[in-house]
Amino acid sequence: MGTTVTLDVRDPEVSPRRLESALASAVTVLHEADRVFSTYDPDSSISRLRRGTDVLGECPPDVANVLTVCDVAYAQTEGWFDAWAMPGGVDPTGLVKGWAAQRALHGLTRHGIRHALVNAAGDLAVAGNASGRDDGSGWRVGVLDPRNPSQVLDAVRVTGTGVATSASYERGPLAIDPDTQQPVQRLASATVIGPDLALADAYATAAVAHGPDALGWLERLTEVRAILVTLDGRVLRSGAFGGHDAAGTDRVDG
Amino acid sequence: MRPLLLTITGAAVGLAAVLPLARAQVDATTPAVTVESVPGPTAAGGTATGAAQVTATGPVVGTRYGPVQVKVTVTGSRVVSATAVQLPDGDGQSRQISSYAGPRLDQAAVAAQGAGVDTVSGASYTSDGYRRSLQAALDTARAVSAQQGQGRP
Repeated sequence: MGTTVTLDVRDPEVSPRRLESALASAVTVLHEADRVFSTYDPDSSISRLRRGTDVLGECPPDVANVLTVCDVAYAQTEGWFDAWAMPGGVDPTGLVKGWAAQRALHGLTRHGIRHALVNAAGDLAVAGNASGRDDGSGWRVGVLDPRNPSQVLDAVRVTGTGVATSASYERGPLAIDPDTQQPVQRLASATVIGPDLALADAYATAAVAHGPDALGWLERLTEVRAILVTLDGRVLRSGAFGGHDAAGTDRVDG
Repeated sequence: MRPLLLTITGAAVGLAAVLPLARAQVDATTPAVTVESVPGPTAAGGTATGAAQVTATGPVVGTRYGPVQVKVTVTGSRVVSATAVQLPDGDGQSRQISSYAGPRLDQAAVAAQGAGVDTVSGASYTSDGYRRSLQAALDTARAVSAQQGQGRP
């Protein structure tokens, strides 16, 4: 089963022609990302790079761009996100989904769409308001309780931001321990909210590999908030969530 | 990155404001939704006092893992249940994935509604078939509910 991406556009008055070009632009971005970064396709640029068939200079510029984001994520997570310590060679999969969704959202907004959400298998890039009006209401995003996914653990209002979740109930890419290169799950779930969905995606993946101590480096990141659920069911919050419960999360950020 | 599947919709788990274009696409690709409707309670004189309950069963959507079909129940504009009535069980692996993913997807669909949120983070709708059947069932259930004039409790 593949990654399902949903484009959710809420602008009430947008001409069919403009909507069509906006959707086409977003869809092109996603298919291009799939073509370049699919580790399931032996002929994708990333597969050829992993095998050593191609060197970085022969790949499309997006490969170098994504690896640059991986470098940032490596530094910010104290090495817990390591695209180079992956089984089978370099693999940016842990953040490509978020990176592609963020760019797909740009594809929409570039064509004049103002209120939209791109949901790449649970990782969200968000612009404007779900109401479709300029009322500053943002999007209300539920964070599922990993112990009981029929319950929403927390709800946050966000706009102009990314929300990434890595969780045990999800069939996304498994977190890999950079030391052992084995899949690990040291948190029941990690949700990271930040201005860039590619980085938020990487941080959520890294936090699940690291465990509760990830709170240390998460707290140092500016403009980033996180909700971690430990394997024994404790809820840890960083950033603006620190010291707040539901009351502190019902505002618009970004 | 996993192989890509794409849906374009007005709502992640079928909340309001579905775009005409998106709706047209859903309708075009997903016929055959069955609907059962239970009228809401009525006051003396026949005035409706509550929302009708509408149950819509989505189309059977073929995936390369097997057929997927979803049933939803809507009261007014609220989803009260979403259940997979068919999931792939063609081989051992897809049966295992189905038994794992099915209940979680159902729960996520209801949770998003119950909490009044626009979407949920981390609910990985890995099955495109699930989403398509769910979306068609939701759209139909809502439309029927709205037509009956008691769409908003």
